[in-house]
Amino acid sequence: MQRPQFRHPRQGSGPRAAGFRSPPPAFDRTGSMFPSPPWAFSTPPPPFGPRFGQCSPNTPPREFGGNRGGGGGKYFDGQSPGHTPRRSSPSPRGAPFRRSPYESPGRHSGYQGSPRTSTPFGSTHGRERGTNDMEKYYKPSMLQDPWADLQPISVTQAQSKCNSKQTNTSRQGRYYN
Amino acid sequence: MKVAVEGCCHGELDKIYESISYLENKEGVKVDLLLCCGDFQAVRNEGDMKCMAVPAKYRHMQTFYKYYSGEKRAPVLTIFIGGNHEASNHLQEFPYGGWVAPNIYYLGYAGIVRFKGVRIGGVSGIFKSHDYKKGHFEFPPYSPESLRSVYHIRNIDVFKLKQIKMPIDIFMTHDWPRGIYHYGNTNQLIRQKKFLRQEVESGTLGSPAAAELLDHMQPTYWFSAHLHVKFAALMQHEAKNNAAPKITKFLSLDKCLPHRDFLQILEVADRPGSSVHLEYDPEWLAILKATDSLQKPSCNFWNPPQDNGLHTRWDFSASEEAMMEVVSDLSGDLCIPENFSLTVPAYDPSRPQPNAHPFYSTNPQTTELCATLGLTDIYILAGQSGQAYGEEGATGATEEEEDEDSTGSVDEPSEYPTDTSGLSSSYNPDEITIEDEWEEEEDEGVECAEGKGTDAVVPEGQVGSQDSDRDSSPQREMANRLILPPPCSAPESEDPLRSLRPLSLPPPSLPPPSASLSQGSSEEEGGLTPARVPKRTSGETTQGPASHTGGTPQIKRRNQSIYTAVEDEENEG
Repeated sequence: MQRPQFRHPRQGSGPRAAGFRSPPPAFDRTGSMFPSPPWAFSTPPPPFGPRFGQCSPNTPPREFGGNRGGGGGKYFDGQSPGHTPRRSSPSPRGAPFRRSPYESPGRHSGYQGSPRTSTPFGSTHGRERGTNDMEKYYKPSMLQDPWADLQPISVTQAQSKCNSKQTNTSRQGRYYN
Repeated sequence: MKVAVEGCCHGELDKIYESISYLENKEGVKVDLLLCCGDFQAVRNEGDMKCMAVPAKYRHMQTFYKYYSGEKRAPVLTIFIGGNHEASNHLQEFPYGGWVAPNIYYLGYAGIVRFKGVRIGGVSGIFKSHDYKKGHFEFPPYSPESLRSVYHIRNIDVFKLKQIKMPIDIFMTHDWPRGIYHYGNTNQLIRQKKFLRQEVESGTLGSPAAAELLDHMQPTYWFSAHLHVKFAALMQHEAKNNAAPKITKFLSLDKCLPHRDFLQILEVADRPGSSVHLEYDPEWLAILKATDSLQKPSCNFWNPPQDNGLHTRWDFSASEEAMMEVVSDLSGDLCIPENFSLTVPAYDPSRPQPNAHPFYSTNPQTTELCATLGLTDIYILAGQSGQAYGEEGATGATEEEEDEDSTGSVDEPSEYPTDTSGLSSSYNPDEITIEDEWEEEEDEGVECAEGKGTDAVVPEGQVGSQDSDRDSSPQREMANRLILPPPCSAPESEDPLRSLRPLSLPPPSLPPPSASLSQGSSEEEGGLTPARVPKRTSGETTQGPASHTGGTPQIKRRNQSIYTAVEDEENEG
């Protein structure tokens, strides 16, 4: 499950909530294109959608998480119907989504009052990057059962598996390849 | 209850706690407990940093010090074991465990605690066969050898754990139990970590000691780290005593970096009505009491007592009576007292002290626990006895052990060189870096340090000299006068000077000399106190038949052949 990343400084207005939790600016502006934010809170973005939150095809592809780097480029040239060559306006586009249910209130209060995050195009590198950093550390698999796909293996089964491998004497060690 | 498990920490407490917090908010869960499987790096200050077995350029303060100083508080109860990258001087203060910071508990060399009725145990360190049978003899200042051996797991701790009879819910080791990789997706593991292939296929990867404990305890969960890979396994043990065969869920996790599998949240059944505070485990404490006299802080090999007619007692498991006695010792309150206190200065970023020497002293938490239960503070014992024991007797078995030595544990070959990439998932061990060579030198059991080019006389700085002020036993005085060959804790460290800060209990020792030492120098300048006895060069370390230095230090020179005489050629490595 991916979340849009908003690293572009022009999108930096408001707290980080707008930065990574909210739907992209394109959503706000192009109501017809994106009638509703079905993915804003729970589901992944539409496959052709502006997953990377690029409001401008000129926006350089920033880091959007390891899984998406490869697939994002092709959307930047406006081929996708999801993108229109528009510039974002420095409006508090994130305002309606400032209080995402997944945001901790503490973070908001910290950002709203901070001079570092109060400027529309201000250098919010420290804070914004921090929250986006946390997204990089998160993986959905962290809450999934790691043993779900495994069957218990008995000691005797493992031993026979071991023995069958050890009879393969043709395999050389790494120093003798 | 929700238990978060983390692999190798490497001092990234801020990131780990932030990740948990992020995950809690995102997923609407609340984590009750964090378990960390080693490489915790509880570095309080610059001195502690020097007691980490990490190449100097990779030594970083990281973030633990903030939790130590009180600047931050761990948002969730954290329990950890030691790995092979630790501030060993700090952890040695807690042989039986203790709070390294508020809400952060270290299990000690080995330990079992209870939380919400769940029994959680662990053993610290990694397995290396050549040190396995030694006692916990190490004491700062560490030599390059003891800096490594200090975190090598010891059979005395495994012996204690094998006295456990009641079921354990969760157990942690830093390195993997040997063979566990056959109980999961082995092929996937080898694809992810190609350099493990040979050891996996030959069955030599992992710790045999941990495997022994896994077979004995058969806990519900077993968590490990060390190899920087997420790997899950389901091991079905052989049925014991006509009971249904138990299954252990094994999980190893990665280190804390972006996009890595370093964290796992699990639902672990707790026991309703049990304490929400961290508690001592009576069975474990009873075993500690019963085995207390077995501990010898010596580098001589210790052989556990067996039922072979040679020992009067070999069963040290805890009787009901012994457990009740423990409860009585604790005045009926099993809660681990929240008695953390700062004992050394914390790192202050505004006033860095890069030349600070490591602190080492007793810890009041250990003192209190030992007094309560009648245990020996083996850290003090190691400090006092370091010279008296010497190294004789330890070498007979050393050579045969060395043959199987390298099969102990993989010493994280890919960790520091690739640390900055964060994305590498495979490592070619043939591309050895300097750091690996530095580690592998130690793994070969090098005990003669003459090759390291230190031919200067290094004053030993007696291991127990801080006690000399207050302990005028004949043994101490004799040790003061003798110029002994250095014991296993040969102090060829970068910081032979020591400082002991006053605590409420042990009186302070000599203040540190004002002479500053460069990091690479092993020479001690003036400022020697009378209590410090210069020793002969470490090249004369007579560690047994393996030593070939005779009585003279070997000095490596360029164009060695020009200087090599016939007898020198025989001694060349």
